[in-house]
Amino acid sequence: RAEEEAVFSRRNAAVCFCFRDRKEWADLEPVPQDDGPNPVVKIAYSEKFSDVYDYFRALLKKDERSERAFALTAEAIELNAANYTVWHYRRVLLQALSKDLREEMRYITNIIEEQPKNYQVWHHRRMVVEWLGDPSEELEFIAQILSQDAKNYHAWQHRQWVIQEYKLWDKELAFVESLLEDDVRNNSAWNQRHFVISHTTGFSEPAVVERETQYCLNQIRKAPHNESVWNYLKGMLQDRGLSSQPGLLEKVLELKETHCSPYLLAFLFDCYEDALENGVPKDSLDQGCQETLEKALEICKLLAQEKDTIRKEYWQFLGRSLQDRYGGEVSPGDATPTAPASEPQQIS
Amino acid sequence: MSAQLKDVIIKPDAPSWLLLDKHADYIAAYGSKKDDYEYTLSEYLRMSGIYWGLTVMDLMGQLPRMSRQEIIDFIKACQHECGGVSASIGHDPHLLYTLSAIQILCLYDSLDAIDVDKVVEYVKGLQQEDGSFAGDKWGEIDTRFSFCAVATLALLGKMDSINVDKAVEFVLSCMNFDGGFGCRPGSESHAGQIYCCTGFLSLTGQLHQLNADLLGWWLCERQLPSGGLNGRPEKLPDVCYSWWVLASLKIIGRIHWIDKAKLRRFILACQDEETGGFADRPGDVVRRVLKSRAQIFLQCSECSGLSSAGGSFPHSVRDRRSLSPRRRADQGSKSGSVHAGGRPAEGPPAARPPQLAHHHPHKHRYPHINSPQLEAGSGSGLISVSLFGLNPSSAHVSIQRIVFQLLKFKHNLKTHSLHLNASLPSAAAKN
Repeated sequence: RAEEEAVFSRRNAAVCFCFRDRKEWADLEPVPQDDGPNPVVKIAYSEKFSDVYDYFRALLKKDERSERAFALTAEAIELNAANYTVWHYRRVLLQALSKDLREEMRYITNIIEEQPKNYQVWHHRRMVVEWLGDPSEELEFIAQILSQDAKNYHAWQHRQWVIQEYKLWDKELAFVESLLEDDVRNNSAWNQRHFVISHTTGFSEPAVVERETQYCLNQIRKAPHNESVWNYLKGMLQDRGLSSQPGLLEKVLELKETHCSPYLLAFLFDCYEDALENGVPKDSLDQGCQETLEKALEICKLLAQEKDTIRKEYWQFLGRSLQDRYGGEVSPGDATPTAPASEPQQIS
Repeated sequence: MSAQLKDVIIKPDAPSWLLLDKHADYIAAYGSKKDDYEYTLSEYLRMSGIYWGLTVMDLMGQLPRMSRQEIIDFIKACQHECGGVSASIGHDPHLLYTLSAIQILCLYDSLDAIDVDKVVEYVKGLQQEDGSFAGDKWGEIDTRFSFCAVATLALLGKMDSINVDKAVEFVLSCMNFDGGFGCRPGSESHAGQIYCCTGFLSLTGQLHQLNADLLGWWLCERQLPSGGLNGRPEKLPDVCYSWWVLASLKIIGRIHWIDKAKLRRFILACQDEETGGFADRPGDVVRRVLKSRAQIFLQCSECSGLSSAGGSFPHSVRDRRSLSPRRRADQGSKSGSVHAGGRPAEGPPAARPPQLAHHHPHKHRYPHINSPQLEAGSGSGLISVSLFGLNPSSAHVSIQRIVFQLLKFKHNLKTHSLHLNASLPSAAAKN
């Protein structure tokens, strides 16, 4: 906040080399801010801001396509990089004046480094890359931005676009792995992993699934409390059925002893549920349906009452639903009464 | 390896009730340069800022005090030849601000103030071949814009002017392996995008295409031990994400999967007792990067349970625009179509699951439970959408100042602090 105030003060310093004082701008009539016939609110703009934007509006009104207009857009952007109209105008000028797009790449690189969490700057960069037809700087640039914030949503969007558009898949899995080495809980990196694999080898090859499963289990051993890895594992396996992956259940049960977490328990529940749903033969489960159901219900109870109480509504719902579906022969035990999935009607 | 989670600690002395008078003070002190600076900077979303302000006023029963004609005139001045509406005078048109403008005009029952046929044309013109929507002529594609498009058309009763099947196909192609949605196919699941997509699917009658249990699970996983919600895994909680997550859960009928008491505690702890206002999380200062006050009030009312489905929604708008999701839900129609606009008989064609070009990866866990609950959820979804239609661009901009500039409530509202469990001012409770 203090930093922002300092910037603000600097921009409004006593000496304002304003456009209205520059003789080469004397031909233009500045257009003051118009908030409508009767402004909804009274505004007091800073002097510098008014000056720049008054002249910006004047240029827009004339639709002037000139170097001075182009230069002014940079000043307007510096004052407010989220103003999408300024970016539009800058792009119009870039084309109308046949500006050097490499130079523009340098410009947008600097702006993004200063303000990496802004839609307009990334979209602008994309447009310039498209016009140039040259993505050669992108992966490195994005990697650099991600090194400052490995979860920058805009950066990841841009990265996915570049890779898909220009078919730059080759080294991406390695890149993802290096990020996961730095932070195994980086959800964006896990998402990217899924993105890369689904667009290259796909997930239908057993060898790929086996490799990925192993990778996940290794990461779980390193950091058991990790939502992303469990989401990834489940996401990868759920279509073919969690209980279809040979030996997985055993490994999860082993991990339960040493590397337990609410996510592991949830996954275990999903395995049991899948087994019930798909009528997996008894011997691969080493227990009957009844036992499977009981174990699954135990997990719900454990989570609801002890391991993940903040989500007890969800766990109780899962338990009830499973009970409803498969609980015909099983004695209710301490099962709670059936209630619908939707929220209660009365106001809590 | 430690089980370290990204979260905050709420100190025992954190605020535990709504400090309305402090917030009033915060607003009252708006003469300072820095607030003007913030206001100036947010000009590029002025239309949305006005909409949020009006929403809050309406929630508090203070709408008549706003300058209706002036606002309508402002909107007129912002409609361009192409039919689209800009954020402010002299700015370029954009879907985000077109939606906000239509929402405002609905609140005021003054859709005839602008050329709505042209608006429809504008929206239609932004649909791409793959069903997605660009935000404006510069072509940024994002599921936010899919949402803006259908929300606009739903309020105008013109959903059939676009290729709904294709639009749905695109949004569904943005569904991820974890059940969530991102901004484009393959993008990471994110609470803000999920809100847009569930709102979209609600409006197009396609909520049954969701795996509500899987998505509901992802959403309720956003709740951290502090009670706050984050926007994606392993991120800090932030009061604005509370809105995106709660609203999405409401739409899919799973809002009770969040621990409301804990969330309420978190939100109240975000208040700054010294200056008033809300920080994004307890312990942070109230910064320039703030969230819509409308969002926060809505979160508060959600938490306090004041709003049942539609409790804090202006019935006037719902009735005027013939948004009748509740009636549809009671019919128990399996198609889940809850289109807005027109009576059922002459509404847009009933939604049927589009022929998906790709395989829909997630089977429903309990289909017999999903459908009716999604019906009920879709009702409140429509309500949420048409009332709030929260433009995701807001997430990182301070407009709190704008909202309270529109409020003159320090003269009229009770100035003592209110416990959340008490009603909001009675006028609002009637809404």
